[in-house]
Amino acid sequence: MPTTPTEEDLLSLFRRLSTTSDQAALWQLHAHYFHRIYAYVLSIVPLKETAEEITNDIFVDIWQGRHLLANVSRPELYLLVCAKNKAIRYLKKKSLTFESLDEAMDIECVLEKDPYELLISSEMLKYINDAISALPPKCRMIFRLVKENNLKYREVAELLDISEKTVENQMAIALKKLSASIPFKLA
Amino acid sequence: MPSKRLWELLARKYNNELTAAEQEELEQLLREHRDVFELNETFSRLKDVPVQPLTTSADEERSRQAIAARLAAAQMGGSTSAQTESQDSRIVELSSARPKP
Repeated sequence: MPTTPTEEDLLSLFRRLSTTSDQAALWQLHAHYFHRIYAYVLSIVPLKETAEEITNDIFVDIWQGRHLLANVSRPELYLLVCAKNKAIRYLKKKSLTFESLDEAMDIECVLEKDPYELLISSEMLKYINDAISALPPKCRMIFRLVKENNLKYREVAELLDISEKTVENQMAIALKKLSASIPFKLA
Repeated sequence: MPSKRLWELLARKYNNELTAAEQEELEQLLREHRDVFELNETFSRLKDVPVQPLTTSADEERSRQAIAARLAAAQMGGSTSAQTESQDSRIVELSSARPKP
C-alpha cells in the first residue's frame, strides 16, 4: 500500500489534475484514497457494494470536475467532504437520513501488524487492538478518522458537524482507554 | 491518578496540535506522573502504525477498472456516474464540498 501522501503531494496531484488533465494523477489519488474514502462512506451507508459504488462515483466526479480542484486548499478534507455529500445524497434518494455521528455504522479499526516489530511488539499490538475494538463506536470512528488521515481536530469536527472540543475529548477518552489496556511492563 | 487535563494534552500532542505553552504544561504533568511517561512514548510510536484498510488490493483493482470503464464510456459520449446524475449536479456537489477557508 502506498504511504500516506503529504498535503503538498496531494496539492500537487490536484494541480496536475486541474491543469494537465493527467489521468495518471487520478490513479495515484485512487491508490492513496480509495480505501480511506470507502471506509468513511461505509460508516454512512452501511452496505459494502453500495459504499464501493459511491466511492467509484466520487473518483469519476473528481475527474469530471477536475477544473474545480485548482482552488482547493485542503485536499484531504475536500475528498472526505465530497464522500460525505455523496453518501448523504444517496441516502436522501432512498428516503433515508443521516442526521448525526450517532447514526454512523460501527466501523472496525485494527492497527497493522509491524512485521519487524520495530515500533510496537505483536503482544502490545494485540492489547491495543483489543482496546480499540472495545471503544464506544463514536469514539472509535473519530480515532480511525484521525489515525488514518492527516486531519486536524478542527477539520474532523468540520467533517462530522461536531465541535472541535468533542473531537479532542473523544481522542482523550480513546487514549485513556488504550492506556488502561497496556501493561506497563510492555511499554 | 493522572488528571483529565493530562489526557487532553496527550490527545492534542497525538495530533501535533500542542502550542508551546501546552507542551511545557504537558512536560510538567509528565514529570509528576512518571507512570504516564512511558505511555507517552508508546503513543508517539503508535502514530506511525497504520490502520488496516477495510478493502483488499482486489477491491482496489475492481474499483479502478470500474472507474476506467466509466471514464472511457464518457469519452465515447456515454453517460457516467452510474448513469444516474447529470454533469451539472455533480459539479454542484463538488463545489459544495469545498471546505470553508
